[in-house]
Amino acid sequence: MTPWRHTFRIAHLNIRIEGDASACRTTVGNLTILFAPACDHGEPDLCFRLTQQSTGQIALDLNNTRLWQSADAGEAVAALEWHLYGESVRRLAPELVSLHAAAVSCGSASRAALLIAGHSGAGKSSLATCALLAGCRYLSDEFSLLDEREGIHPFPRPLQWDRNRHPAFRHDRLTAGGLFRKRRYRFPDAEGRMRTSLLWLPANVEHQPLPAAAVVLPHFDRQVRSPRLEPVPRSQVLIEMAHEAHQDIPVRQTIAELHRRLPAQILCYRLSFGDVHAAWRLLDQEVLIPLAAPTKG
Amino acid sequence: MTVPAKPLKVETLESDELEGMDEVIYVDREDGNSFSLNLTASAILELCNGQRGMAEIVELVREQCHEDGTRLARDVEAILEEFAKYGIIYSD
Repeated sequence: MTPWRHTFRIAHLNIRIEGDASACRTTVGNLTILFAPACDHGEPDLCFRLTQQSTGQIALDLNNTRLWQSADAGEAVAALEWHLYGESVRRLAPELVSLHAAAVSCGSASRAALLIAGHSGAGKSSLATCALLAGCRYLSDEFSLLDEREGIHPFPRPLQWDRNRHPAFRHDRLTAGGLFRKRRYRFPDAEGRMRTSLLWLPANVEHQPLPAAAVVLPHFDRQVRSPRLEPVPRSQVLIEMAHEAHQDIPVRQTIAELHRRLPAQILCYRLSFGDVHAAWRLLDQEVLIPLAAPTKG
Repeated sequence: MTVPAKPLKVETLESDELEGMDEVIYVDREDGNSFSLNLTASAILELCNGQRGMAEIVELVREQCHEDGTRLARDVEAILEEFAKYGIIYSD
């Protein structure tokens, strides 16, 4: 068995995943390829190992502590993914607050970030996909890391959808022009049935933190015929986003942290839509293009 | 919505002023539900201690913001009606 190793970083955390379980190698590479490469020397903050046991099982360890063991490579990688995200977010606190939000740059050349925050099914990943198709750079579809200097740190895991066929995006449209690459990921679902999920790897990935310029609270509702974009008070955004924090912090404390970490002048909107493409056009026209325009004086 | 004669703020509400934003965030420590108020509305809510009636609350607000009496009374009543509607004040 040939040893393999992937080393990368999430914000200031150096992470290494290594092992000799060859059945896991390609999927681990696909899951981690978008993260910023890190120096391979010295001790990482997190060291995951996937090793083939003589029993035929694959063992998953973190810093020499056994986390999982399975005869199925897909299950071992799924366990790795679960622990990688959870442990990273835990280790990044309290310096970085992790929000259940997508983040993209505000345009292809912009040095500012757009946050798209909301619960599952609200349309975060769909709006982020539209942004990426329009040339914006990818920071995250799920974990947006807020620092104390009003910056959003990238957490560029591959995009995944619940169903492999997304009603709003044709596969050939996503891969045309090289804006996305497609990979496959086989894993067991909650009932233990094996499923194959598609991993979408955006071509344009941001590796540096960007200051947050705007936040959108999406609301997908297929009954909405024309998208509606409404400004909302910043305090309302703080309240709604406080319920989307990954770290286990009381709501009151999360609101205070978000208040400290989001710029006072951040633009805040609610976007209701049934057609994500129309919603993206409206958002781009009303918010992002004006943001990119040079200011007078 | 009828305003209680002597309104009392729900005891489980905890508040923090958003520095620099002239707003106060309230979080119910029981269920995590949250809302924000401007400073005037927050001052009115804080006066709801179950001991004061509407006239006394209006008078105390008038002392703070020097506004016209009739209009102020109308505004305070409207705000208290909203508070009652959202269940953040009640009758002790």
